Amino acid sequence: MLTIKDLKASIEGKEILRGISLQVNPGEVHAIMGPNGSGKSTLSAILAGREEYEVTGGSVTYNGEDLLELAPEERARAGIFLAFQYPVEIPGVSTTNFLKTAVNELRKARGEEPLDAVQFLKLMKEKMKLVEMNQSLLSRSLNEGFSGGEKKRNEIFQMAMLEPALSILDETDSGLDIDALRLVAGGVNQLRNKDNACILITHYQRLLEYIVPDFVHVLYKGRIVKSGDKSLALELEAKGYDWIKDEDKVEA
Amino acid sequence: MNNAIIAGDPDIQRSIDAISAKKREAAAWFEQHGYPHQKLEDWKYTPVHRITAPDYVLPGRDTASLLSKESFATLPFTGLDAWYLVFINGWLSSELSVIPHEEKGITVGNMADEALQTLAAPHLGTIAGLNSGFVASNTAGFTDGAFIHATGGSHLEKPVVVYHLALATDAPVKIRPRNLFVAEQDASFKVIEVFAGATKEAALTNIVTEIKAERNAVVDYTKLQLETGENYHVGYTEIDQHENASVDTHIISLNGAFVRNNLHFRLSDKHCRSIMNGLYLLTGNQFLDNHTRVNHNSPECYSDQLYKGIINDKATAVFNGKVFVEKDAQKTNAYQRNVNILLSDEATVNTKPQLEIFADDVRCTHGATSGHLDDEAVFYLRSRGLSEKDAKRMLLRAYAEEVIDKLQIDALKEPLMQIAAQKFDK
Repeated sequence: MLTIKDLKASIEGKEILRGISLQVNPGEVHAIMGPNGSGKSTLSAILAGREEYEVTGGSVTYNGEDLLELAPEERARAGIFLAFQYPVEIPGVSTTNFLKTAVNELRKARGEEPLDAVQFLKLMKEKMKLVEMNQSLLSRSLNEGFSGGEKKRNEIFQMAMLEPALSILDETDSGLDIDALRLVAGGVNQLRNKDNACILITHYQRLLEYIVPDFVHVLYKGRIVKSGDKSLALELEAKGYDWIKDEDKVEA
Repeated sequence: MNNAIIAGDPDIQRSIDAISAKKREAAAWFEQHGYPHQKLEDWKYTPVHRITAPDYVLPGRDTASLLSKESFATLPFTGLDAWYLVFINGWLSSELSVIPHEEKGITVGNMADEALQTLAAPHLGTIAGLNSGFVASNTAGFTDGAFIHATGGSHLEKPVVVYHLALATDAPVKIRPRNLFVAEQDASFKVIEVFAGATKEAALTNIVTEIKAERNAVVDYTKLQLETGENYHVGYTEIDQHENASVDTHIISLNGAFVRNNLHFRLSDKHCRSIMNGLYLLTGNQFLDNHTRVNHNSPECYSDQLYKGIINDKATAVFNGKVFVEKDAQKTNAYQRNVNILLSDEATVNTKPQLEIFADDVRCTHGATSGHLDDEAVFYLRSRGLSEKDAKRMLLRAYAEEVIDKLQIDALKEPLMQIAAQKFDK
C-alpha cells in the first residue's frame, strides 16, 4: 500500500529526515515512536502534503503512484487521512458544513454518487456513536472552544466519516486524559479492518495499550533505528529513549 | 396638496424659507472652504481629487423617467416585501416607488415634496453639521431624497427601501440626494438604502443621511453599495440618539469604483445602544474608505463596531474608526474591531482605530488586524478532500457571514452572500 524508500527531507536547509524506509501493507498498524525532534511530525507532514518541507531524496509510493506528486486534496481523495496533532480552529465553518463537501468529493473520486442531505445526516448519526460525539459540537465553528479531547474525537469522527484506506494519527494521544484516550482508541479500533492501514505517531507507549500495533519503529535523528513488534514499545517504556540514544552513540 | 394651498399656508411657507436659509448658509460655507483635500488628516489616505476634479453636470428632474418598470425589476433587491422610494440621479421616480399612505403615524415621502416641509424643516441640517465640503455642497444643492417620519409610538412593519440609481449617459454627473429619517419617542422602522447602477461616465453621488432616534426609538439602517463602473460615492450618515434609543447600522459595500463612507453617531443621552456592522469586498482598482465616529457624550451607553474587509487585486481599503468617550460618559461600553484579509500582494489597507477616553469608569476595547487567509485552515480543509478553491471560498464565506448574519432583515442575507460569492469566484 505505502512504500517509503530512503526518504530524506529538510526545512529551511536543515535536514530532518535522513533516509527513512517503511513498508505498510493493508490490515497493518504501524507505530512510529521517538523522542522530541526525531522527525515524527515531519514524516506525517510530508505524507499529508505540507509544502513547507523539501524532499531532498528517496521516494514515497502509494498504491503504485508517486505520492509526493499529489496535492493534499488528491491524497485525501486517494484515501489518505491525517489526524492532526493540533487541529486548527476555523471560525464560522462547522464540521458538518465542510464534511459534507469532503465526503462527496471523496465519493466522486471513488466513482460513487454524492450523498444527499438526509443520507449524509444518517451517516453522521451512525459515526458519531463511535466516539460519542455530540451533534451540537458538530454544528459549532470547527474546534473553536473545543476541549483537547473534543478536538481529537472530532478528528477520529472525521476519519470515520471519510473511511480512509491509510490513516496517519499524529500524536493523537497528546493532551488526552484517560477517558478521552479510551474513546479515541475505541473509535480507531472499530475502524480497523483487513483492507485499511494505520500509522500511529506517538511519543508515549500509553496509546499502544489501547491500539495494539503490528509493528513498532523507533525514529531517532531522522532515521528508523529500531523496528520490532509491540514488545519493542514496552522495552522503550521501561528503558526510556536514552537507551536508543546510548546505542546510537555506541554505533557512532 | 396643490400649489395654491401651499402658497396660502403660512406654516409651509415658513418651513420652505427656513430650509432656503440653511441652503444659503451651506452655499456660503462651501464658497469659503470648498471640497476637502488630502492634506487634511481625515482625508490623508483618500485621493479625493480624483472625484472632485471632473467637470460634472447636474442631471435634471426629467432623468427620473429614464428607467422603465421592467428594467428596474431586473436589478437586485427590487422585489423585496417592502415599501420603495426610488431615486434616479437624485430625483424621485413616482412610477417606480411604492409609498405607504395609510400607516398610522408614519409619513414616508420625498424631500422635494413641499407638503412635507413642516415636518422636515425642524430637523434638516441639525444632525449633519457643516464640517465638510461634501455636506455643504449637498445641503446647498440637494435635489430630492427620502423622508421618513414616525410619530411617537408608531411602528412601520415593512422596511422602506430607498433605491438610488446613477445613470450617466454622455457626461459626468453629480448626484446629490438628501435623506432625513426621524423616529420620535417609542417609534421604530427599518430602512434599506441601495445604491446601484453602472455608468461609463463618472457619476458622483454625494449623499447626506440624517437619522434622529428619540427616546426609546428603534431604527435599523442597512446600506448596500452595489454600484459598478465609474461610480463615485461620498456618503455622510449622521445619527443622533436620545435616551435608550437603539440604532443598528449595516454598511455593506460590495462594489463601487471610489467610495468614502462617513458614519457618525452622537449619543446625546444615557442608555443608547449603537451597532456598526461593516463589510467591504474590493477587487480590481477599487478604492473604499470607511470613516466612523462615535461620540459617547452621555453615560451608560453601549456601542459595538465590527468592520470586516476582503481586499484583492490592486484594490485599496481605508478604515478609520474614532471613538470619543467624554468626561461625563461614565460606564460607557465601547467596542471596536476592524479585520482585513488581503488576497493579493498588491492589495493595500490603511487601518487606524482611534480611541479617546476622558472618563475613568469605562470599558472600551479596540483592535485592528490585517493579514492573509489562514494557510493552516486552507491546508486542513484540503487534507479532507476539498479543492484549494473550495477551501478558500468556504473560509471567505464564513468570514463575510459573521457580518451578514447580524443583518436584521433576513431576506437580504442569502442574496448578499451570493453577490459576495460571485465576487470571490472571479
